[in-house]
Amino acid sequence: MGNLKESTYPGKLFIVEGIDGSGKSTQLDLLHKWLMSEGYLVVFTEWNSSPIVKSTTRRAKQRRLLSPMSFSLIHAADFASRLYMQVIPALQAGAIVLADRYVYTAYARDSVRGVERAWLRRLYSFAIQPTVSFYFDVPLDEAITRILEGRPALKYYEAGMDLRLSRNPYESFRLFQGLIKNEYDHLADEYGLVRIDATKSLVSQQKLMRQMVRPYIADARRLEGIGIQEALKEHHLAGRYLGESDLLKEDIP
Amino acid sequence: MSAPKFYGIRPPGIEAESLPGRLIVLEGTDGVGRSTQIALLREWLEGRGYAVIHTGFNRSELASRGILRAKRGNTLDPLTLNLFYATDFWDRLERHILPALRAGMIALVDRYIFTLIARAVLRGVPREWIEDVYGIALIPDKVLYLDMEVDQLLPRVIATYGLDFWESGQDYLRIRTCSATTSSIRGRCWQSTGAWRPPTGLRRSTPAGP
Repeated sequence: MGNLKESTYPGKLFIVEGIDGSGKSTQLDLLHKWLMSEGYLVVFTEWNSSPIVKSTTRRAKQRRLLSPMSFSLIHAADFASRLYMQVIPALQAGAIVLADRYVYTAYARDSVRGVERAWLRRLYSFAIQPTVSFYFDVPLDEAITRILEGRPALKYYEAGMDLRLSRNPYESFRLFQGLIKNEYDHLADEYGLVRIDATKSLVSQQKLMRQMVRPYIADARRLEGIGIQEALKEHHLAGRYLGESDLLKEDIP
Repeated sequence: MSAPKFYGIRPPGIEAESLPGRLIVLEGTDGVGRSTQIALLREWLEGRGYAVIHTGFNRSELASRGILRAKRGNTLDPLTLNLFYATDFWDRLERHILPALRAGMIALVDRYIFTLIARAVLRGVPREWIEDVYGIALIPDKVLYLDMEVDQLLPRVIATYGLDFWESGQDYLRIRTCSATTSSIRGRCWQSTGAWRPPTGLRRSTPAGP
């Protein structure tokens, strides 16, 4: 099953996959809030968000500089950066890591763009095997409706316009998502992703997710003590700058 | 028409086409005289009527700025840096080199995948993995490696532009000598040229035009 690295870390890694509009981010967010409320140390990371790489990708997308291969490589750079800066340190610390999209997104998207499947698997062979991977399975029409509702325009790469499937962005988007879904369906079988029927109610999907996650998190690290505000109050420390300030947010450029 | 040959995979967007141009690569450490040799080669080739383009490392429109920005910080892991380099490499190949080769030009390339592989391996990246990544590289018609001992090299670098943090490998102080880089590259190149010779002598030993 795995061509990824088996984790030797005390933490746990849960990831979600699925086409746009499958509701995976919503479900992961619900899981995140639940785990926090249970007192766990939780770290969240999402696709294409590395502080080091993101600006290059964004600029390249705006200027339409990306070919299938450079698209693949720059996203791998973003993934590597987040793996080493966020995911692995958190897993070492025994945290629960939640990832919105993982290597399977690259397997699916990049192979649709014509990059060799076997090469993609070797490219991402440095990634850590997730504890559980969820695949949000949704019929194409349902996902398209959800995405297009109230959205003014699709972006060039988002709609897969670089594949020249259609000159109409909406038609291109539909064809592109269909091809990706096809890849995902195969990947889910090949890699044993846990299928979640994304047409079911939000609550029942979330129930299933928690059921799948619960057995793995008994030993995960919990946040000890209480929040900083409460801790200060206990010592009768107060001040008008404390309440509203971004006390805990470090300035990350 | 024969398909262009790559080290590993055939990247998407490259058709079975003939590339009438020639790809000539110069490899070698910093300060070894690559730029000088390329300038002389270019002059010589153009004087004989060949159309020549010259492209170098870390100059792509896509990734060069990002690489510079990333290197200013201090949280850059070797895999991210090398995938950035790979993006830069591919962008250069796709945007500069391949169009030139299609048009029948001679592409003189200042460092190709060999420098990138050697540096990656020294920074602890698994050799098999990085070679696999650069399986996307078009196989050059000729690779020239400018070879020079480190003790000869160092005064040159210091006398010209000085030692840069990344170039001198200060991010990776476990490397005791630069000769490891050299031998790592050497194993991957087919033709070694004595760069210690005066430029005129060297130029004559490089290949004739296509």
